[in-house]
Amino acid sequence: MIDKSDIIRMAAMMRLELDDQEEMVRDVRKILEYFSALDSAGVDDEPVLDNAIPLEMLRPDQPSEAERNIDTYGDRDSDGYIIAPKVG
Amino acid sequence: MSAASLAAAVRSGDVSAQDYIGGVLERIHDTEKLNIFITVNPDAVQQAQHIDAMVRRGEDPGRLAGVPVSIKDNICTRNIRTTCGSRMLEEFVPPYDATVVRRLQDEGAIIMGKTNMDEFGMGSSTEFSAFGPTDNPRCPGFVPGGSSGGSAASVAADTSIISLGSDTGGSVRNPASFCGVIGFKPTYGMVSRYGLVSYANSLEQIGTFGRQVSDVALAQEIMSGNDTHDNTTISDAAPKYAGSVDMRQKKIGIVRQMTPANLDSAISQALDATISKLIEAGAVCDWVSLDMVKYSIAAYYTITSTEAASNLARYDNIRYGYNRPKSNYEFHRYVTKSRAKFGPEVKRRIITGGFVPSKGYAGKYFLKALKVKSRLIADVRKLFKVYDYLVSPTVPILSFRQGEKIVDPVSLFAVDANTVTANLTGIPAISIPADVQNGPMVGIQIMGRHRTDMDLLGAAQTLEDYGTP
Repeated sequence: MIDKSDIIRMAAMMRLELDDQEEMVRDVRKILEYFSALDSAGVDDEPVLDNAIPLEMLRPDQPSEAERNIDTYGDRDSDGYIIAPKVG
Repeated sequence: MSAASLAAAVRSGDVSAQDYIGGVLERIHDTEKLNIFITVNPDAVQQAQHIDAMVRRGEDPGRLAGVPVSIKDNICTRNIRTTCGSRMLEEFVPPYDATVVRRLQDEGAIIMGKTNMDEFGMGSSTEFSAFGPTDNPRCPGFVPGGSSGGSAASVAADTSIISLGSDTGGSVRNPASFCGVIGFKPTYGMVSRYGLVSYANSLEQIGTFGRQVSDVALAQEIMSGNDTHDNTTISDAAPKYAGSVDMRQKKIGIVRQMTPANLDSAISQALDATISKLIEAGAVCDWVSLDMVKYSIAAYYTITSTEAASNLARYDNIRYGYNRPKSNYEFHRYVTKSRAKFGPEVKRRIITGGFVPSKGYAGKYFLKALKVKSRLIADVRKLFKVYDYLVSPTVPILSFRQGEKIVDPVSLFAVDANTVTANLTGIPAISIPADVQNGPMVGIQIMGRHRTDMDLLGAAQTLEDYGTP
């Protein structure tokens, strides 16, 4: 079971400051307890499929038009990097 | 008025888009207290004038000429700020339009504004918006559902004819159900997500609200199809709507696990009324079983919180964010301080999403969630070998009072119980309002086979033709 030190460590990794650490411990415990329902699903031997979409329905795994044309893109700086237009 | 008939009247010059849109803006003003819009498009009238000018010049403004459309505030609109219901993006003005927005505008649609939502789409009641909750236009004091609550409310309150939302686990269908309008989630990959601010990419789709099935179908026709900006769009997916479906010889499965024994009587009544209509139309209805539904919410929240934690890492106030002085901070400290603007639900999901895929937890949570998803896909495919549609109440509970469920982080999960299956399996699903005598708003969900979106809309049309309130 997770405790306050786990929450403090996770919050630091996620770059979050928590107003109330105790409350977050309570909430996340409750949520993880709910997720434990997965234990009784009986899916241990189930293979993991990547996705609901069969791959053949997606575009071929090749560079897109934009990527193919990258050499033709606009201005370069002295090191050959592309200068992106200013946004906004 | 339907979108098609308004557009026809504008194209023929019988109705001035400027007048019509002016009327809608008045209506938006009159319903301000419902808190439907976060931002109203200041250029709506000017854009309507442009449509009228095209008509005068003999040009065709398109199939949605002058049709007022509202857009959920997590779908990018060029020069109109897009907040995602978050203080974090309060000042974010996208430099580009989402593909869906561009496709609607290319057909003459007028964007009325950006609708309220749970912060980053995380919630089922629109109470987690940093801009305050939206009230339910059909049932004041009650939540409109969520996370696309503002979009559903805008259609219900007549401040748009069509509205776009996003549906990660039911965020279009449950507000449609609570607000008494139609809400449609397409097959995953049918509509481009380019310009939709990511929450859980593997599950979400942009969906449409309307008061008539034909309006939703028209928007779907216009928006769907391949987009080079979104590699998950399915090829050759720009089908045409063919209207109502002949229900004779159709087999319909009513999902037992989505109709619990303690269902509110208004919801059972709505389901019974729908089943009667389907039978009257010639369909055969059977009860069917989908065991994995019991575990679908746990799987859904495990997967979405994992993806959310990763997606929301980008809000560091360097690439996106707000104006915050940069001096006197060490780098990570600065990022942490900036991220204080996230609301409580977003923080909870980021923290949860840190645990479930991490070492020591992944086997127990994340991997199992993916396995439940795989089994659910297999089971749904099996059912669709026999049945044409699967039916259930859209939400197994009624709309509730504002503030009633927000205190407990898991109590809102119940709202999503019947809708997450379509997201986990990628299939299309629609919520349509059902007949309940003098009762609350209740929606019935129909799910269809993968990539049969137009046929599913046709089935909804058949039900609509039999009469809905």
